[in-house]
Amino acid sequence: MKIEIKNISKKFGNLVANSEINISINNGIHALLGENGAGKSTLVKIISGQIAPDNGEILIDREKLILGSPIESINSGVGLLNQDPLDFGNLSVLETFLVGIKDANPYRNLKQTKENILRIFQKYKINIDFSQKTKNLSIGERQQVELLRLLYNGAKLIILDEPTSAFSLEQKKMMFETLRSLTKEGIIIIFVSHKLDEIIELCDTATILKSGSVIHSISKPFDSQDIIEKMFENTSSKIKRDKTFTNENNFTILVSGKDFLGRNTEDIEHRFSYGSVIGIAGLQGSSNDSYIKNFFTNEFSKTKLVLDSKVTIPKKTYYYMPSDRIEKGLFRDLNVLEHFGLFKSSETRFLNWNKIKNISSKKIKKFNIRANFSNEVSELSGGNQQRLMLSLMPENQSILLLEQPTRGLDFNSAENIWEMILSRKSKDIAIFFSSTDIDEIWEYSDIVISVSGKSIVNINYKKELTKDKVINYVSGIV
Amino acid sequence: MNKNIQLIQINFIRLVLTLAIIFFVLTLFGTSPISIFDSIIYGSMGSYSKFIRTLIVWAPISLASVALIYTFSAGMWNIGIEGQIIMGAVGATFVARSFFGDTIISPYVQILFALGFGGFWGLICGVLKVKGNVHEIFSGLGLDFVASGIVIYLIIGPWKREGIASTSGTDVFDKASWIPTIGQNEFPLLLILIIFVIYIFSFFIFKYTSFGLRLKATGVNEDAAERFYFSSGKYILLSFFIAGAIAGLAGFSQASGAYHKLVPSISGGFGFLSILIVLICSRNIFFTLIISFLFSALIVGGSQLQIKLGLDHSLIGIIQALFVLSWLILEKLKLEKILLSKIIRSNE
Amino acid sequence: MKIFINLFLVSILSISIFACSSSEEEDMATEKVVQEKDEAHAHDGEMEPFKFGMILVGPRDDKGWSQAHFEGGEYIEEISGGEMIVADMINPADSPNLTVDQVVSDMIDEGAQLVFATSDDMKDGILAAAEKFPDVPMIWASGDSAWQEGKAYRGDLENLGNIMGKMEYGKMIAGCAAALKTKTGNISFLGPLINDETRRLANAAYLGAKHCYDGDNLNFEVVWIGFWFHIPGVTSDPTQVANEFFDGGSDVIISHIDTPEALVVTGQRAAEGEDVFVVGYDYEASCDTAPEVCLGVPFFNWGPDYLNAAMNAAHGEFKAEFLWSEPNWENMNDKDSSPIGWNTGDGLNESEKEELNSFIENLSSGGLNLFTGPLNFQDGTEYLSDGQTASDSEIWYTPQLLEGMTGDSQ
Repeated sequence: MKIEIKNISKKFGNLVANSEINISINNGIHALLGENGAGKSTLVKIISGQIAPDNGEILIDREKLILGSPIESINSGVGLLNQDPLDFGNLSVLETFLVGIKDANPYRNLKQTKENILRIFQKYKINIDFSQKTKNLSIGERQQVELLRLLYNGAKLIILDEPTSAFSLEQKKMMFETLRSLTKEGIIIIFVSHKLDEIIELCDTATILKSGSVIHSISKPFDSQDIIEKMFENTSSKIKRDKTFTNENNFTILVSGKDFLGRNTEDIEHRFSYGSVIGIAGLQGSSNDSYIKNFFTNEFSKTKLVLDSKVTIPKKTYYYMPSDRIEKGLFRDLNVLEHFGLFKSSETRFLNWNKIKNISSKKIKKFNIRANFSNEVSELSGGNQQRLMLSLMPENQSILLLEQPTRGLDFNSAENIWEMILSRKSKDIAIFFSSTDIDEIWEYSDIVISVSGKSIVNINYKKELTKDKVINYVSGIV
Repeated sequence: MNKNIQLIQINFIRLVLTLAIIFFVLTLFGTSPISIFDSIIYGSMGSYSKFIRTLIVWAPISLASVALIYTFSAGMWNIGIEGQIIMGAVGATFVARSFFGDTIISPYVQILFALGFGGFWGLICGVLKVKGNVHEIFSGLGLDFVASGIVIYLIIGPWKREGIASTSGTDVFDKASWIPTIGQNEFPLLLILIIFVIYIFSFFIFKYTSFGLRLKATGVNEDAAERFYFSSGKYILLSFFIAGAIAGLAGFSQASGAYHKLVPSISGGFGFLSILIVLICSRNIFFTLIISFLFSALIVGGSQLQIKLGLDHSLIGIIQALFVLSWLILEKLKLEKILLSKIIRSNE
Repeated sequence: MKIFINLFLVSILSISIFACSSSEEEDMATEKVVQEKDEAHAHDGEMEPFKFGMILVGPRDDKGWSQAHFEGGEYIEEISGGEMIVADMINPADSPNLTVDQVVSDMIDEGAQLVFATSDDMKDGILAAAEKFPDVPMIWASGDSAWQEGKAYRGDLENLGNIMGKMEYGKMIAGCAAALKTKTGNISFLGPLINDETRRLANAAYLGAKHCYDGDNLNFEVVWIGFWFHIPGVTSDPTQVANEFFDGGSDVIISHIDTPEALVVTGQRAAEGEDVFVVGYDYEASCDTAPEVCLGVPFFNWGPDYLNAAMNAAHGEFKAEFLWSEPNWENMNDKDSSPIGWNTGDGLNESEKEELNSFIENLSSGGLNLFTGPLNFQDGTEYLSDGQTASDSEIWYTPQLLEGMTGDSQ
């Protein structure tokens, strides 16, 4: 078994997702590494036939794979195990299994089929009762059933897309054992993950992607520091920053004695000066976004801000900007003008649309929103939606809570957004933002809160930290 | 092109297409659509007294429809509208049977009670939704049943006619408790005034107040509401209260304007009909006013098909259903937009 | 552009329809004149067919009350060549927001020269209509508005007459038939709503049963469903009530509602082997629903009285009379003369039929008046003292059920 990926390129509009990617795997478990947007999932989708590349070819055992067709990929022995199991909760395990297998009509010879399935379960020492409902299984068990089905269908190349995110330690151990035994049969496994420790434990070879290109191919033994450096290599910024700014007022972040898991930790206080930009760093799937939101909703923990003046902070001081712009942040069916009306609605009982139009025109200009009054927000591009949300920030002193403010935006839009955010430094009490992009955190923060999994690992001034330290914190290496 | 004019054009084309479909189906039934529509138009507007009869039906339908605009705006399916109409009628009847019954102020006190009873009944739905997280469709349906149960209990119990226990209704109200009318043909001026005041008021609310805009926003996205510093729960409650109160007025119109007594099916199914009307009109307040009139004409004119043409009056149900279905299907198909763009192109 | 022209044509079309109707509206303005002309025509000798309206509370084919009226109308059409305009199912549940006075005015618009409102329930509407159209004769069947001794007497309404047959006799026969058949002594009366008429007829049925029952354990139970027929969610379900009667130990039901649920239920239970029977109501062929278990049916024959009213109206001789007609004792089932009749069903055997016939004989000869004292009301107060016979008004307006019956009086 051998898989060769040759010169694969894919562009989405102006965005280069994959550029001239060459990977060759002969055996074993191969890791696909890279930060968000590095092009991992695009590559996975190309191999499994969900999207067609613009250029390049893939050879499986020297035979050309017909690209862009999931069925061709399956027939050539490619099996994809999704992050979330794609099964039917209300069917029994056996039925779920039968739904996806290659046999034309498994019910014709149910007894024989059942025996075959049982054999493969026994072979990999997986002990699951066939007759129970799928939804009664744990996520890990469901993933295992999926994996067995891929094998039953004759997969020779199995791609796992962040499979362990919902696993317990025990399940992870079992899964890894199964995977290792598969490689002994000559099955190739491509393992996509953020979690360095897993990769170091499991994989034989690895490819590191950045901005759509292969920047490094490595093999065992791995050096974790080396990998981290390569993954988060510097991308320099051009934004001028008001570094001389200082403010004498201070506020305190009171981190509550309880985290999301309800575990008791120590109450910690941190004092910072007004106008600080506080980046909450975390890997994808960590709780950094929840911490941002929590200042607004107090849903999870009692972590809160206290001003030195001890004045209680009115709710309106907080401006929360969710990362899911259209579903949570804006009103899909309302138009741009109505959003500005809504923005005014807390000050006045009656709406003077002429006045609102005037204000809106100014804001639209100032924030460079490319839209008309009558555009419904669902018609706007992501960048314009984001700028609209920013334009709806309160005019007076605020605490901004920005959840992944540049998520999904191209480089220019992101810079643009940051310029707008930073221009408020001198006005606001604090600007919080979350990001999974360590570069972004490092670039713009005065203070970094590192979140790993569900816990805050570290809070400190940037000047007391190094980027590597932050990367270690968010990766769970303390 | 001006968006409003375009909207009117699209709706006009849709109306014509809908009527064409109805004509076609009626022909399939072997009836003459022209004579049916002639009879409906004549039966609903053929004379002043018939026109007034249509107004009396239009009053509850238009009121219930505008009531539903409030709850639909807040994203709520106010199935409980029937119960709110019924309770409004109960409130009105309560006043008409009290010592106010034979006084000249009776109708005005009735209005207050109808508003209160209906609003209270709506509020129950709202509270169950916001505080108890009970889906408004289930609570609404339940409250509809409870309301009609209450009416039947009152009619054969405490409010029955002397020596009679029949579900046919209470005693006729004292004339002082009837909705005041003008002239020999009994033009219901007060009722018409109420309708117009409420429509203009509602138009103003939705167009020019923070309240209206927030109501709309609540309906679009409950989660986002909080970001603009208002609680969607409060607006859901208010929408149910206002909708219930206006529906209560529809009940008042039924009890004191149409029947002059309380009967078991006092709501006449107009609440459910209004839900369809508001769906057809996509919550547009002016279309609602017009379409509700069309439906009232259909109901009043249709009730005379039997007398004029010897046809079964279930035919009206068929026409109504056809209207709603074809309208909604046409809306999904977006046929009119294509037609309209063709028209514009050929004009250019 | 072409499409615009088409749209234009369609709108012209609808406008012209509108125009048609508005020209008819002008016709309506001269309605009175036309009407007078019509009457003149009628005098001259029937130039135009005589039109009359028939407002039914239920469907015209309900095998009950409404169908009996409908056939009364057909009788007029048959004999006089008039033309009937029918509006059926005129009740708030089936025709929301259509009131009786509106139907009357629609019928008058259509040229009706006489209108029959055929339910006690239509009181409010027909009184309003009679006020509104004082020149159009109307009949409120089963009502009491034209009766000088009546509680609802409206002397001012000179155009509104009442017609009712003396169904008391029919109900006495029904009660007697039930008493002859019952083995348990438990007779159930499936009543509609409670008013003067239904109390009167329930009492009559009880008196008939009491007279014919051999023994002293007669148990006569009355249950009211709330209206003349089943309105789901509003009235009790008569099917369920009938079943409960039998479950509770009755073996004969006397139905007094407009629809035949009691017969259906009895037929079904008999088919399952139970020894149960039923007496129908209103419509002469109602036994057809369950012939084997039907003991008979007292029915209305509205035709003769209705025809009389129609002839009077057509000749301008209509008077607001209260007509409470005796059966034609010579031949109770004569279509052309008797307002009520009795059909004996197959449920009675020969000897029972004979006993029943002698009972009818007794009634017709005048030798037997069951409304004779001593009779007490349900609450023990005296209705008729020993030997006293009830007056018309005492019969019509019975305030309570009689002693010996169970069930609500109000």
